[in-house]
Amino acid sequence: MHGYGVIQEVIALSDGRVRLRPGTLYGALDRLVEQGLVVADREEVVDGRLRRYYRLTEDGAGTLEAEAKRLTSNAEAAVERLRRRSSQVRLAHG
Amino acid sequence: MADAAPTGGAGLTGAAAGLHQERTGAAYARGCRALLLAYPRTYRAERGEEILSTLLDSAVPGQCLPRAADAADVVAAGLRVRLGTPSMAGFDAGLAAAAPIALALAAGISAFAWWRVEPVGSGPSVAPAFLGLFRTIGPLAYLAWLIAALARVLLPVTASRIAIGLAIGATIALPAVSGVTSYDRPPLWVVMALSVFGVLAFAGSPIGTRPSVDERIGVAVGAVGVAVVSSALVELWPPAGGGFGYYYQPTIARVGAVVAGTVGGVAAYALVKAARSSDAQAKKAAQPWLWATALLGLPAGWLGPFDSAGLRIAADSAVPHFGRLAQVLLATSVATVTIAGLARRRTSVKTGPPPTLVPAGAATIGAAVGLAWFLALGAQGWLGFTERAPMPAHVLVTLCALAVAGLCGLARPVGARPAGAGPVGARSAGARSAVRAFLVGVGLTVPAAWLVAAYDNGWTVGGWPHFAHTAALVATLAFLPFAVCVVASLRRVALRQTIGERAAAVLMLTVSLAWVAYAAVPSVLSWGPVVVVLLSGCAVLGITASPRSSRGG
Repeated sequence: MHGYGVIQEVIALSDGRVRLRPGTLYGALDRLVEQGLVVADREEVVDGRLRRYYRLTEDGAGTLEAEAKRLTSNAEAAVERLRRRSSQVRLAHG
Repeated sequence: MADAAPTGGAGLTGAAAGLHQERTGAAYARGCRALLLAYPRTYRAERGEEILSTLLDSAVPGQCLPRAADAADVVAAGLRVRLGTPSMAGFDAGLAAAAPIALALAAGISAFAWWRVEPVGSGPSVAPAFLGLFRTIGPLAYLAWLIAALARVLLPVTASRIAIGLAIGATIALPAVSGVTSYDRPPLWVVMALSVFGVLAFAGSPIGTRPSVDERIGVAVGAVGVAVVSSALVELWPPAGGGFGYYYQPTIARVGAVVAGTVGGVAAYALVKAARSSDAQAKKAAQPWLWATALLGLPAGWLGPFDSAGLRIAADSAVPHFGRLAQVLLATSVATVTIAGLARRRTSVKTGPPPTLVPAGAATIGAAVGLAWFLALGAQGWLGFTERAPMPAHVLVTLCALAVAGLCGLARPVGARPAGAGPVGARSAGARSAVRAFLVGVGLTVPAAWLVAAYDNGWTVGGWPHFAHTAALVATLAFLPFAVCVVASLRRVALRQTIGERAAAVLMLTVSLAWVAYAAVPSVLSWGPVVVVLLSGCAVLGITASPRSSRGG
């Protein structure tokens, strides 16, 4: 995926709530490349514009998976707490 | 590459629409290219077209200028690349961690100064009372800081940023307001520290973030804590004059102790986090707190000294002067070296060839030339001085040390590969860089020397009677080029290189540290918060350089 594609994808995934700015995006890409989590895959010129495509490395996929599991676990814990709270509220109100 | 235009020109047809589209597209592309100048040339060569393409892709039809938010973001990112902080893990998180602490410190300092120092009758006063109540116009800014802290506690980030911005403006305006009125102002060190704490609080609270309840309560409790503990400290550890009332001693020294203690606490927290982390992922958790320590350490170091007994007036002696200005410059140097150590570039994107000693050496020679020129003319009774006087011996020692450190950077040891060896263009680029650094050194030093001379003579522009005293103060500016030499030589020592190159770097480092020791160590009792900032900085750099930390990436 290229830089503009990442911006579009983030907007879509967040339902428009998050819009990455170009300076922030490329700073983040620098960090991810530096940490070996993504790698520049190929380049192409479309309508006179340079597009550099990035892809996840194996390390990046592993880190993403671990982070996704952590967030899922947190979300499940929160849902469980809410479920218990709802049960208690129902009991309290008879 | 063609500057393909954002499509648009709604309402126009045919040739007119095409012309409009072409013009807006060209203007938009020009604007984007101008923004990219914020990045260093080498980074632009690697990434410029890619970022430009993304900006062009992001444009909406008919747009002729980049959005303000995009422009600010690109410029900020470019400046961060120039400063070497874009890829440093933990910088953003460190700034965010430092922001509420900085705001609490600014509000606490303000509350203490207003409560304990400003009321007339609390001590001697030479200027008319402001509003008949206060010794200076400081409460104008102090009120703004208290409002900013309250806004952070109660309001959304957007509103609190406005309040912090207003408080920074009010603080920076104090010297000017004092200059055009008959009222006194707080000491400059207080103004400077409040301003920089404010900048940290502002920059570390980006729009869109939502501070937690704990963080909001922490700002309020922290501000009250700083004021109350500082007040108690004056009672327990009264200044030489006794009790409250003398602005410098209670405010700078006692508040400085509390602020330094806070920085030490942040450093200790980072140390504990680093020590308890056994794997790379956990190690990263300490990185933001290392950054927070380094960032808060800069203004914290200015609030001193704790004890003026160690201050040394060197007007007629052979040892350098060490007064409040020197203490501030030393604090700035220590914080700069710490920040530079954390900000070492580790990016995969090329930002230029490996660092050489040449720019630091040339800038240091420039600083030496600037100081020598200013002081030589001053010794002749020119530039505002009223009498001819001999150059103090310690000033000559300082100039010689600067020259030696600078020459270490410019020397090309036998067997060393010249910078940019081979291509003539690369060598001439190296020469241009050296000349530019030299001119920057001269260009910054001469006005700085003049400002210090004016400061030493009550902010007058001439009629300066005591050359030896003023020259001693001006010479303390050497702390800054020596700090640059320390950073450059430490970075160079860490690289693979020939023995000659290593020797040059080691000699530059040795000369720089030797001069700092010569100027500052005899006055160690008056370093004040610098001791805490120095220890914290050493801890930060120690953790950063440790093998476990480097594994953490």
